[in-house]
Amino acid sequence: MKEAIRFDHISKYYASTSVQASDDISFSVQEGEIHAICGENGAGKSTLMNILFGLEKADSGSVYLHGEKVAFKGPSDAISCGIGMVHQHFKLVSSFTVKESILLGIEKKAVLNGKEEADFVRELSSRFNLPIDPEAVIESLPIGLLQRVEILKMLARDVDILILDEPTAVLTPQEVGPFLETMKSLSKIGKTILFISHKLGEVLEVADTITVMRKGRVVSTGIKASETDIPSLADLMVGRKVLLQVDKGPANPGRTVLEVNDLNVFSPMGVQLLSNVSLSVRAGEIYGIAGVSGNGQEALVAAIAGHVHSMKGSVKINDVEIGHMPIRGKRQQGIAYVPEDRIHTGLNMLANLSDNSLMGFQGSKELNKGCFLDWDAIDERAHDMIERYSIAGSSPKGLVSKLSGGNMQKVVLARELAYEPHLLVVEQPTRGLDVGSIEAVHRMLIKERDKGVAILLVSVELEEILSLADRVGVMYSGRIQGELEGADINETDIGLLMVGSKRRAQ
Amino acid sequence: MKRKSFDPMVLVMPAVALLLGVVVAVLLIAITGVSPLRSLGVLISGGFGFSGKVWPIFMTLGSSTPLILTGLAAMLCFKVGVFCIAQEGQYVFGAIVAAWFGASLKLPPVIAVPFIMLASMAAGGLYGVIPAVLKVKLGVNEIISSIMLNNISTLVLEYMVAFPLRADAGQKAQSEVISKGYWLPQFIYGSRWGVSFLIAIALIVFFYFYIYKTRWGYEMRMVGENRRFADYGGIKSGNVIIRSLVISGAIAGLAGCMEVLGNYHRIMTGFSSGLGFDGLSVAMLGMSNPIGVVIVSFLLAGIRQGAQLGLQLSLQIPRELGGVLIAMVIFFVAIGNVYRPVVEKAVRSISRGRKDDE
Repeated sequence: MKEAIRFDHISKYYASTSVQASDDISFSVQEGEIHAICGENGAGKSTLMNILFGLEKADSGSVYLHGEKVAFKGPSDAISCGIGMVHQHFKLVSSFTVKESILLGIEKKAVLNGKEEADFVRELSSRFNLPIDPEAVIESLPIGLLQRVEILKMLARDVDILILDEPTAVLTPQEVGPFLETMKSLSKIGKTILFISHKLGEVLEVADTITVMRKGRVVSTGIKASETDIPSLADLMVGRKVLLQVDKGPANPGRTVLEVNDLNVFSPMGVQLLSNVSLSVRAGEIYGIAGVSGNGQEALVAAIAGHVHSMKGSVKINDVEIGHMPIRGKRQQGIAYVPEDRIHTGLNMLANLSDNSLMGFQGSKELNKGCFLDWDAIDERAHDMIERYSIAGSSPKGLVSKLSGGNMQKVVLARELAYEPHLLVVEQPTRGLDVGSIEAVHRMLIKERDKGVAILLVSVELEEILSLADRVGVMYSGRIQGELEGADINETDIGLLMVGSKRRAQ
Repeated sequence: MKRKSFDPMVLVMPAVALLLGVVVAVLLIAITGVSPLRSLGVLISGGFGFSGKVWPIFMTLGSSTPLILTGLAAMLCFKVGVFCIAQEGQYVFGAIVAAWFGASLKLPPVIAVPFIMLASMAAGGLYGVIPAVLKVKLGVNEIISSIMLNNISTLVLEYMVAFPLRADAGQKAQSEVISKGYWLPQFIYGSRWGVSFLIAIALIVFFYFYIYKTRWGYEMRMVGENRRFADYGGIKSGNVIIRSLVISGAIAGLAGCMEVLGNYHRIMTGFSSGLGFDGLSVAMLGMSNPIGVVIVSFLLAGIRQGAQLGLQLSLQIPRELGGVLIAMVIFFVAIGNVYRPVVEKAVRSISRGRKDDE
């Protein structure tokens, strides 16, 4: 095998945040292999890829491509040398068709020939076995197909090295399997793939070689996937033993806190999002909502903790009807809510940690002195949160946008738990987090459960549901397709219910 | 515990923009054959000097007063993330109300003056309700609705001074002079610098505390910075936006009132001369910070003053060049992101150098 890429003593320091993102990184990637780069959030994986792709410049060190030293000025340089990158957040124009998106910027003629373009895309997609309709409009496609478009876009530019930045983070569990197959088949025809991920299961399944990074350094490289396992990789990533399975005692459920009865929710356009959903969550238990995303989970959470356009049926907290209450009223009834989108909804990225921790408490007596906010008390309280939940790299007056994903989530959780809620609604609490943070978040949830909080956990990660939930409701097409409890909770049954099967496996 | 660290860029960026604007404008003046250094000297002494019968610096303080108020008004809109540009119309309406009551009320000044101020604020505030409610309830773009409202107010002003409030049918269209007892005193006669300046500064101080030290200000900032986050946290963001836009309108209305009571003592066609719009520039240049608004108002007023008193009177350079200078400064603020990295680097190396010295 020949060497495709070699990183030679790459270093990069961000002066504005005082972070050493890359610290003397050296390793090489062989041609035609799937090379996984694992590491926690903030380990410096993305920075390294951005340097390779020409988006950022290294302070020192160099990159060798097929043995020759290269220094790209930008992505177009990198692409012309055969390196393509698919970012975690897609960069597509929503009103374009698939063929337009793929050919954008590499059109062969000034006047476009729609048929020729479509033929080109069809040929491309069959050559790489990535079926797609060239005429489909981007905004109508599910995320899995958008990713396919991004990959085809790079393949259309004749790249032979593909960088995939956390490609599975946006996919539903159903889409992950086929995607991994795609990676394997691309590798079979000779493409070199750099696969950035912190999902170790996927990494082991698909990668040939693994490099593990931690805090901007390479901890270990050239690990053969066939010769390692998840626990030892996790150890390398976090630098200590991690419990992948959380220790969880039996639930000790008390009275019913949340009671949803015959709930129907409609969109502003009149589309029925939920049909006759009934469920209840008791104090001291975790009720997991499993299901492929887009099957009504969003509407259910909005009806309980947010705001819906129109609804029928009842939602009660401690026997108080809250369905039609404004959000402030719901929060006063004892609901806390950790939303899926912590960057746009759960936090204010332009504000510091004190500001973020204050949301919802700005009227509280302890934090006001007469007409004025008591900033000393607020900072003190934020400081307590930082210590109690070990929010790393943070100060009360530091911007939350400078924190890693896991620490951002801890800020949200810390604030929401400060409500001392009766019901805690958590939506995809660990999406995009690294192993260490996932563990911390899971521990926090179980601790709250044991303190007697009723927890509604919405997650598309089956593993998360399996390791946390005491009871599970599986949603399909706006309904609760089935409920499982205690020892009955297993992957097969949940999987069947998730795809709409009525009967449970025997 | 670590206190709020101050970002020097807040002050450095406007200063750099100002410097660049002055350099370009002075070079433009050089084309007319006047030495750049001389014109710069005259500009500064005409705008910020301490000589003559009425010192230019006092006149600058006087003409900065309406800028501070309209700048504050615009800033309150920006703080909730709404680009409402109705200050011009609110300013005009405040002035109409002040001129009307000022000429017709027959009450002792102690009662009448506060009453007139409140009435002008109410007029401006009501004028703020319209774009606010349209925005929040119907999603109407605030820029469009406020442009329309500004046009209406200009026409209303022309009608008012041409007919109901007209002083004398033979003279040009202007209202009657308000009762002398209602005139706000000036510290130095002929400088326009007077009580209204103190009121403006008092409002700046008040709103500095309101925005950064109270829960209502906190809600404003959160709504402006991330409305989804505010809604999620239980803030009724629509109400916060309406509240802010009404307060903003009231302040712009008060600015018009101050100009009538403290300066012109009447209204006439073309009363405003774009002061409401200047407020927008002030708020933007001042980085939407109350202190920044005061500094920028003072600088803009001074440049304008210097262009008029200095350039025009002593060097016969058209005072429009003062306008060019201001436009240049705004231009350099607008393209700030282009040269920001260079400035940032310079600031960093300076501050690092200082640390090394210690």
